[in-house]
Amino acid sequence: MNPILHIGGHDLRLMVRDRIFLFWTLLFPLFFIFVFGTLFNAGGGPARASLTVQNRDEGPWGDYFVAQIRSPGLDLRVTRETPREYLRWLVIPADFSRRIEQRQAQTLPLTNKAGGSLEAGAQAEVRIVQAIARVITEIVLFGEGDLRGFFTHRPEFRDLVEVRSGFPAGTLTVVPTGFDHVIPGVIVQFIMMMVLIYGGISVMVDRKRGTLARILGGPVSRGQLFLGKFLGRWLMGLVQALILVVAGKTLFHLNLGNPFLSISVVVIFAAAMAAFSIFLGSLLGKEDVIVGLAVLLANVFSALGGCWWPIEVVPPGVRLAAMASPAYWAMDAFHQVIFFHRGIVAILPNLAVLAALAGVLAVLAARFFKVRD
Amino acid sequence: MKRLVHLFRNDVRRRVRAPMSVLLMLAIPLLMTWIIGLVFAPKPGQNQLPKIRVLAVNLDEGMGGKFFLGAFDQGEGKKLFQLTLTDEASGRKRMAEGKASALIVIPADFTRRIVRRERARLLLEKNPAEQFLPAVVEEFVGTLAVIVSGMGQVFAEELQGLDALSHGEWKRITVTDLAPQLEKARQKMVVLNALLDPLLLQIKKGVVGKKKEEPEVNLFALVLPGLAIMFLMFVVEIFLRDLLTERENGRLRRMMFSPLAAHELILARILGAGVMGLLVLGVIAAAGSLMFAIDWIRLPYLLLLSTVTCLCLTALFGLLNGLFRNRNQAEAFTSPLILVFSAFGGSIMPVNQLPGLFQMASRLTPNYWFIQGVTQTQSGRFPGPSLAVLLAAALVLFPLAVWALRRRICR
Repeated sequence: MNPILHIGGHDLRLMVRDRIFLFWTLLFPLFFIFVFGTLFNAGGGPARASLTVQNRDEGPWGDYFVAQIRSPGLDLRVTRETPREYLRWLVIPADFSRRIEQRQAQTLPLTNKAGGSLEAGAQAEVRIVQAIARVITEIVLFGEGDLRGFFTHRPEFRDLVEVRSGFPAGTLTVVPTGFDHVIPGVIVQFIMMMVLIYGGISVMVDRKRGTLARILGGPVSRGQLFLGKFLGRWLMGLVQALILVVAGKTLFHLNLGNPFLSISVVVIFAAAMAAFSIFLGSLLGKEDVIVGLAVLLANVFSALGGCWWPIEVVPPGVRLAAMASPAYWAMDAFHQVIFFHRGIVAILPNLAVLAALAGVLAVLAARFFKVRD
Repeated sequence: MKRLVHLFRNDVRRRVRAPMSVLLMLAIPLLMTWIIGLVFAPKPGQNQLPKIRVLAVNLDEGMGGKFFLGAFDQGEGKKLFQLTLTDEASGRKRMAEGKASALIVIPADFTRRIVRRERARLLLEKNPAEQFLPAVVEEFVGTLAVIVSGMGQVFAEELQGLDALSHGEWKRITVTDLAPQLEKARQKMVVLNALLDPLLLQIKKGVVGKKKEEPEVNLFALVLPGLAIMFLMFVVEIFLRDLLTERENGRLRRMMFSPLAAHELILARILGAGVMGLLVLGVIAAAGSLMFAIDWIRLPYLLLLSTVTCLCLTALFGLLNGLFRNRNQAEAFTSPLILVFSAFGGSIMPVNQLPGLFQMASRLTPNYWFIQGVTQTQSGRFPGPSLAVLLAAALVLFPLAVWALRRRICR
C-alpha cells in the first residue's frame, strides 16, 4: 500500500479505537446540538408566546378586547381570578368597559416574569398593541355617539394592509429549524477541536517517543511521512463531520442544501485544520499546552466565526474581526449553500480563502515538521 | 509537616518553571468572557442589537408608501432599524446575497387600494440565514400594517376626496387641492385627540421575580464564574494527574525511597492542587475586576467559597486519579467529565436555559453550586447553600481520595 495512505489510515484507526472516541465525536456535540437547537427554536416557525389575561371587567368590552388579542401565534389563557402561574399577565380592570364608554384613558398592567423569553414577551406585547390600535380605530369609526350602543352598530375593523412574508425566491420554502442553524456551527467547531487536539498531540507524542524517526527507518521518505500525517488528520476531520452530518440527518432532519457544495466546504476546512494541527504538534512539546492552545483557538475562532450565536446579532466591529477566523469563512459558505441555495460561484471566495489558509498552514507545518526533538 | 511543605514548595516551583499550561487555562476563561461581553454587553446609549438592516422598494404612486416607511425613521423605529431605499432589482440581489435582514416591497397601487378600501398587499422578504432579526422586522411591519389600516379607515372620506380630485394620479395634486381635505382631517384630528392624547388604552409594563436587593449584574460577572470553574477543574486535574505520570515514569517509586510517608505525598499534592486552584481563581477574580469592572461585592465570602470549591475539586479529582490505573485512563475520563459538568452545571450556558431534566441534573455538579454561590455573593448574600453542599461533598470525597491515592501509590 502507498505509505502515505498507510500512515494516514493508521492514525485514523488509532483515533477511532480510542475508548472515548464516541464521547468526543458524537455524544458531546449532540448535547450542544440538542440544547442550542432547542434554544434557537427547534421546530422552526415563529416561537409561540404565552399570555394570561385576567379579565375582571364587568361589561362587554373586556371580552371584546380579549378577542382582538387572540391570534394564532399566541397561547392565550383567560381567567377572572388572579393567576398563580404565568409568564406574562395582563389585567383588564373591573371598570374597563365603564371607562371606555366614558372615553376615559386607562392603563392596563402587563407583568412579565423575570427570566422569560424576551422574544416571546415582545410578541405578546405586539399583539396587545395591535389589539389596542384596532379597538381605538373602531371607537373612532363609531363616532361620537353613545358607546353603549357600540356592539349593535359595530364598525368592523378591516385589515386594509396585508403583509405577505416569505423568503427570497430560489431560497428556502420551509422555515429552517433551530437545528439547521446550529448543526453547521457544531460541525465547524468540533472539526477544529478534534483535529487540533487529537492531531496535535499525536504528532508531538510520536515525535517524543521516537515513533516518527522509526517510521523513517522503513521505506518511507520524510515527505511521505508528512503527507501521511496530514492525511490522517484530514481524515479525522472528515470522520468527525460525517458522524455529525449522519446524526443531524437522522435525528434532526438536517438540511445541508447542495450536499456536494457543503461537503466541499468541510473538505477544505478540515484540510486547513489538519495542517494547523501538525504545525502545533511540531512546535509544542507538552500535551497540556497543546490541549490548552487548541481549546483556546477553537473556542475563539468558533465564537468569532458565528458557530456559537447568529453572526447577525454581533456588532459590526466584531463582524469585521470575525473575518480573521477560518470558522467565519466556513460558516458563511454553509449559509450561502444551506439557506440561499447558492451555487459554487457564490462560495468560491470562501473556498479560496480556506484553501489559501490550508496552503499557508501546510507550508508552515512542513517547514516546522520535526521527526525528533 | 516540614516534608509536606517542602514537597508542596517543589511542586509549585516546578509549575512556575513551566507555567504555559496553567497560563492557558487562565487565559481561556478571560478571553472567552471578553468575547462574549464584546458581543452581548450593552454599550451605553446603544441598543443591545446592532441596527437591523432593512431594504425598502417603494413602488407606490401615492403617499401611503412614504408614510409607511417613515415609521422606520422615527422614534423606536429609528433606534432599531437602518432603512435603505433601493430599486427592486438591486434590493432582491442584495437579499439573495444575505446583505440585509429583510426587504419590504410596497406595490404601485398601495395608496390607491387603501383609499378605495381594498386590500393592499405588502411583500416582506426575510433573510433565511438569520434567526432573530427578520422576526423583529416582521412584527414591526405587522403593527404598522394595523395602524395604517386603521388610519385608512378613519380618514377614508378625506382620502377618497383626494383620490377623486386627482383621478388616481396623486403626484399631480397641488397644495391648493389638498387644503379642503386637510382641513377636514384636521377637524377629525381634534376629535381624535381626545382618544389619542392621552391614549385611550395603554399598557404599563412591570417585571416580577427579580429580587429587589439584587443589583443590576454586569454581563461579564454572569459569564466569568462559569468559565472560571470549568477551567479551574482542568488546572486541578492537571496538577493531580502528575501523581499518575510520576508513578508511570518511576519517579514516584524513587521518591518513596526517601523518608517520606505516602500520606505526606498525597496531602502535599492535594494541598498543592488546592492552593494552585485558589491562586488561579484569585487571578481570574482580580482580572475580572480590572478588565471587566466586576464588583464581587463580598470578597471574604468569595474567598471562602473559592477555598471550599477548591477543596471539593481536589478531593474529587484526587479520588478519580486514585481510581484510574494509568494516565491514559484518567485523561480519557476526566476531560469529558469536566465538560459534562460544565455543560449541565451552567458553565457553557445558563442553567435556566436548559431543558427541565437537565436543570435537575445540574444540581449534581460543582459548577452549579459555585456559580450560584458567586451570584449570591454578588448580591451581598452569604452563599450558605453552596458552601454547605460543596463542603459536604469535600468532606465525603476527601478521605476517599486519600484512600484511593494511597492504594494506587503503594501498589
